[in-house]
Amino acid sequence: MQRVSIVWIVPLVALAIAVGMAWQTYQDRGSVIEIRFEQASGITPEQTQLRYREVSVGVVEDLDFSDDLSHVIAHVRLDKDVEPFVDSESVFWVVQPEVSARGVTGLQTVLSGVYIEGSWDAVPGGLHTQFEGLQERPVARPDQEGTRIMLSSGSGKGLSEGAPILFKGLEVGRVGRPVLSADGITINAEAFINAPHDQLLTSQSRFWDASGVSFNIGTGGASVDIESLASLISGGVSFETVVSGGNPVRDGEVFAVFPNVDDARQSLFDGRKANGGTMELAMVFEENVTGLNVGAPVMLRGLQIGEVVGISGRVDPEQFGDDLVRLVVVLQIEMRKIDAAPDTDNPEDEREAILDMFEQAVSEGWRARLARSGLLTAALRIEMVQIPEVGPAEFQRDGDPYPIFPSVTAEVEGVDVAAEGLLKRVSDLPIEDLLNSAKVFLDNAAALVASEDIQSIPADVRGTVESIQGAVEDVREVIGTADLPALSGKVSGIADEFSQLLEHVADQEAVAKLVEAIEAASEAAVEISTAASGVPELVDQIEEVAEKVASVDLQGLMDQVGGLATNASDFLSSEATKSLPEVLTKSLASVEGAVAEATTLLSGMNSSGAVDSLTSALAKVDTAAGDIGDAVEGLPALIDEARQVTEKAAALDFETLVSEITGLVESAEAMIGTQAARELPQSLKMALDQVGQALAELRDGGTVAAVNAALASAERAATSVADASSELPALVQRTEAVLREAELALAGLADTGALNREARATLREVSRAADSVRSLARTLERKPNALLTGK
Amino acid sequence: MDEHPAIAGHVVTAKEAGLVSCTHCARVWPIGTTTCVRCGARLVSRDVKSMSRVWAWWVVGLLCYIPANVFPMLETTFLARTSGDTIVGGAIVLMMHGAIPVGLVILLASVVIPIAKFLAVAYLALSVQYRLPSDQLRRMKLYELVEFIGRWSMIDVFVVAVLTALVQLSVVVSIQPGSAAVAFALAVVFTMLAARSFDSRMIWDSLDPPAEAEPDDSRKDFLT
Repeated sequence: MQRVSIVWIVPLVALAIAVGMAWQTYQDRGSVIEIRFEQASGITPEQTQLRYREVSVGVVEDLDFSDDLSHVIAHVRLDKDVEPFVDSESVFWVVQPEVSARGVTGLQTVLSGVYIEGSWDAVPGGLHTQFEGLQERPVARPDQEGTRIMLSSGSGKGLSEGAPILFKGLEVGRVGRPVLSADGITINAEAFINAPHDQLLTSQSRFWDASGVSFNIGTGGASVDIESLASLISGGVSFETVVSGGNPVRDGEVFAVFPNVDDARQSLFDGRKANGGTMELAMVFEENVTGLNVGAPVMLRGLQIGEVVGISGRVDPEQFGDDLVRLVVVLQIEMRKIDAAPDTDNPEDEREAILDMFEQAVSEGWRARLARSGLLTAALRIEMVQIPEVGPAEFQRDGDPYPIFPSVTAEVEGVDVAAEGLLKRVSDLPIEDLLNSAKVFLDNAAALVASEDIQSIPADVRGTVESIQGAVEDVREVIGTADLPALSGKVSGIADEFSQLLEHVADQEAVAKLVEAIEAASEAAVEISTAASGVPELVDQIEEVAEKVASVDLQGLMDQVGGLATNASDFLSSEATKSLPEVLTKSLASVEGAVAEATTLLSGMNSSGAVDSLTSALAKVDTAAGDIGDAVEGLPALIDEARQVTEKAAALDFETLVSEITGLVESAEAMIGTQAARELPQSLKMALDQVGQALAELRDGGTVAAVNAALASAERAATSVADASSELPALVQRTEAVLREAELALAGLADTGALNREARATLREVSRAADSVRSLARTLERKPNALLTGK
Repeated sequence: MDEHPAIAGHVVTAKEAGLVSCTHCARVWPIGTTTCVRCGARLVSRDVKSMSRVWAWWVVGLLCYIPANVFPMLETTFLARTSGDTIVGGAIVLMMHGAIPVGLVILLASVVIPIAKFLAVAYLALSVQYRLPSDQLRRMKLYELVEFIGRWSMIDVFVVAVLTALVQLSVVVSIQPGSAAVAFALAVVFTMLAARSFDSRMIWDSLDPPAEAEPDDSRKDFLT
């Protein structure tokens, strides 16, 4: 009885449905992909969805850790229909609520929990199952039309995530997440320009920081500029393409962000590139880099090719061989400034070309060194210079993190140290002392001027002038009253007599002897001129001495001289001086008489053998002159000695000498001030009177015989002089010896003060003696007949 | 009919007495009558196909009971966040929230009773088929209990229906019936049908001497 209930269809159908559903589910089930995230951030298994364009296309099935616990792996069951599109280009990120200046996004996830957003393009590329989840929402979805570029900025201002990119104030793109470069110098951010607007972007475009407020005050008034409120809060960059002719921009090209619009525009004209216009270089300095700041210029032959962007210390025993701290300076070179590869537009090629150039330059002796950037500032800059005969060095092209350009130690403490020394010296000058001295000097001068003596000088001078006037009148009177015509007649008589005498002399070969004598004298003169060749040196030494003397305080001396002048004026104003003309008149009268006498005398002489005597006397003089010539031969040595003496004297302490001289002058003043000196004119007058009387007597007495006797005496005297002259060389030698001793003594002067004093006293004596000799010589010069008269 | 069967130890069935009763109006007719004259129902002394139907409904009920427990019974959307609860999960959640009596009731109505029903029906069917010599009266009472209690298994479905109707507060919170609700309702329905398909008169046939070939047929049916 095969009776099967019809009801059995029901379980069969149910089973079929169940199996069918299971099959269907299995068929529809997509693959599982793995997405690695830093953290789960709200992902819940079985609940968190994977969405594409806000449509759920999968669900997180499981959540576990990676093997090293560093990541969370979300296993997402994909819907089958999107599977082919989830290729390796797909990106995934977690959508979370986000509140920013530009709005609120992902608000729905506040209540529903996060979800994973996936994005892929519309081209099936085969299923890929391993993905790295993004930390943040990407700047642009993979399927979004537009251009992706990199923005690079030194400060990162304006580059904040999601900040708008503005073109004429209109938002045309977004800035991605800013990332610090590996060297920490620049901040790079991905950026995306939306599709229709990316046509505006060319290689000539310039970006600038549009965040914040720019405030300008100029002649046209003040202006405040805010690009947009959002950029004020969250930053933003603007760009502009002023110059046409740029190339289209590829994805991934790098643009620099300039601080402001002016810089950005300026960069178009000074050649700076907007994309990758810089390269980094490192230098290692062992010296002190005080004064080298970030921003310091890098100069190549005076052209700034870059600037310092970072200074840091580094200890690297492996590289440098010791544990010392080296200073690593990182430079940013503007490649366009060097333009090593003008043909290429590719920054990498350009960089390589510049590195080649640097390598070549280093092998040719180019080095970097620190240099002063100003005369007075302490700021430093870096110079690349070619240094001849520099030690070997290598351009480390693969240096870490940048190619290392070798450097040399430079003398940078030049000017400021020298200036410091100079200023120190100036400040050490005894300016206050000097001023005090000047003040004292001025006080003294004022006192001097105010002194009665000085003030009375004009009056005295007037008196003197009046006296002179009176004297002149007297002289005129004398001349007027004297019997001048008679005198002249007498003089002509004398001349006649003299000419006769000369004729006689000529007859008696006196002339030849005279010629001989003159020759001898000329020889002597030659000797003297040879000797005189040493004189300039002597003069130099004397000049030195004179300089020393000049440097001596002469004020006291001046005072003394002033006193001396006073005394002299007193002296001149004395009665005795005034009576001098009268005496002179009388004297002239006597002279007149004497001349008359001389006339007669000469006539007598003519007749007598006086000429013979004169001739013999001249012969004697000749011998004497020869002797003097001999004696002069010893003069150069004498001059040398004198020079040495002068040198010693120059080395002497002159201040004390001056004080001595001052004392001397005081003594002289005192002397002049004495009654005896004042009475000197009277004595002089008396002496002149006596001279007059003597002349009168001469006129009265048997003078011719006396003159004869006198001439004989003169002959004898000349003989004696000749004898004495023959002894002159010995005398000179002796003087030489004395001078040598003096030299030795002077050499010892520096040792003992007492000796010094004694030597000075001796010198004083010597100088007095010299004065006496000089006055004697002057006297002889003026009055040769003193030899005859014995006075 | 003077003797009580339990007392007598042997019960004379209607079949043995040559009678057949109408299952609708309980009028007894001589055996061989095919149609109830009073109500017009078809008269069969023993429904030989009943065991086959029982097992068919039983299997379908069991099939439905599996998704009813695997899939969520309720889908609660609370602040845009949707969570589903299965029957057991929901009961446990309730008990963890302190509503232990409610949880126990739900567990009883949705888990214990359906499973007990499955087991009871299967036991009755097997006992009839293999003519187990157990107490017919007790089995009869068990059958009546199953028949009675079956409808209460729907309490969970009612809870879902009520909650779904009441808690519809738009975004904030809303409750939707899950796919398990339908499956559970079907499972209840099918088990009730299984129980209804069971011809309780066959309980008494186990006392019959095994001369007839009908049990073999029944077994064959079952195995088919």
